[in-house]
Amino acid sequence: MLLKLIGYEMKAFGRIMLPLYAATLGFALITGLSIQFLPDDFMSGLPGILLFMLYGILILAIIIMTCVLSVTRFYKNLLGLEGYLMFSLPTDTATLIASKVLSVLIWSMLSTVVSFLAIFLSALGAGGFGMFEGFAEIFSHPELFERLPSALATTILFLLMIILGAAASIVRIYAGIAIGHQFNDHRILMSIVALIGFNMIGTTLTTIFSRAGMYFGIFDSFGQIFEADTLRSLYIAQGGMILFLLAQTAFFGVITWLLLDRKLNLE
Amino acid sequence: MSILECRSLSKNYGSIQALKNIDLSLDSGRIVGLVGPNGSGKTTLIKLAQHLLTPTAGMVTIDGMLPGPQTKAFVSYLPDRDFLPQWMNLDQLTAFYHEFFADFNPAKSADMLEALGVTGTMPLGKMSKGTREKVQLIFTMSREARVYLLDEPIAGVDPATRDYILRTILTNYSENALVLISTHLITDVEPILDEVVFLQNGTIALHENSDALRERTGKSIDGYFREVYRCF
Repeated sequence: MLLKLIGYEMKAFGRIMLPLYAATLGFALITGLSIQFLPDDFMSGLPGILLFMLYGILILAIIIMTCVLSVTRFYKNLLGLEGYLMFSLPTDTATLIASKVLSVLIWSMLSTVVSFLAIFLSALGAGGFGMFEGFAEIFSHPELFERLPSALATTILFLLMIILGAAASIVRIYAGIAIGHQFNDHRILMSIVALIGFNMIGTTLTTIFSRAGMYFGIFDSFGQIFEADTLRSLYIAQGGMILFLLAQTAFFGVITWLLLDRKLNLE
Repeated sequence: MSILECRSLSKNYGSIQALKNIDLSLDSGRIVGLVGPNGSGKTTLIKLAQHLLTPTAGMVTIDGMLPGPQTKAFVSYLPDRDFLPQWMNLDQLTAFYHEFFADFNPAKSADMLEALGVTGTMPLGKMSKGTREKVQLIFTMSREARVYLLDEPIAGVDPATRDYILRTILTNYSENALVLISTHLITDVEPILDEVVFLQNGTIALHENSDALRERTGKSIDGYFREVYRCF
């Protein structure tokens, strides 16, 4: 059922995001080719400026639409009128929430890839394949490859941190919306108030823990590890952060689940 | 055999008691009218049976189970509002129902859509309100479910469509299914009802076989309720 729900979200997001991706990538290529083949004074004039502006706007639109859909798909599809259909499907509330979070993560990754691809395409159009010449240089320094395993490990951990950080942020927003939806009036306003409340509690807890860390000398001992073995301390920091983000995702996930499963208040 | 049961079921919204200690048992193979004035608790009872609300006290069970994923697999629910994704057209909706509901019969929905002249590739959001209501009911009745929970299914459609819908309900539910129709338009649904449950102020004022009620009172169900409760 989870895969079916994700598939449905792919269609719902895709009808808006896919045309946007296609337009951005097409425009990136046109921009790049224009730089390469059109006269410089044309590209530095008004048409060139407009071309760059539109290209920038499209990339911005991808970022904004990904964020907007992440929130509205949850709000409208689960807590709006469509919620009557979604909560009538033969599945549990946790699966519905998980499908939303995983879909947003997938679309966020796709949007990131497409944005980079757009930049890459415009650069490719502007510079041709000459831009790849520098890459050959890397292979003339074999000593760089000795550090590959550790670099790969930290990169994977770093990517995991980004994904979990995104998941924690999404679920936190969903928990805020779920709290706002407990009220019969001013639901959006109350959702924002809930999110501000989460931030305030988060800041307070961070302050308390950092003070406690200093008081008990945890930071000093970490500093010693850092001096003795930088790589190990990096792993510890990344591992700690991953555990923290996992806990945060689980905490806000449980709040969202409890409110949607036990206190659902559809329009 | 009883398929839907409420035991000491209560639901409060803050200080307002929407349902008060309800005991109800409904059997398979019956078409039951859930009637009562606005605010009597009809929609609340249906939402509790679909786990869209949780009881304040007591319980509702469907085929002996608490409402959840297992019961939703054989309960077909029609809410009293536009609940289908407005961006979908009929083909997309058919694919959605086919994918998510194992008991959905696409041939049945295609027949009914054709009979009511609902065709084309237009998204639901662009259809008229009446057409949307027809589509919603058609897809709900195209599931070969064991329980149908229909909340005000005929409120917004024209009389000709209303007749078709009632015929559809009568001819499309399986003999082992329970159809619970919430409505305040008693006259229209009266001919198809086997039983009637009358809710008033969150309590069951009456639960009786339709024929027995008519025989006992010498009046139509609608006439009886108008006279006794003077609230329609």
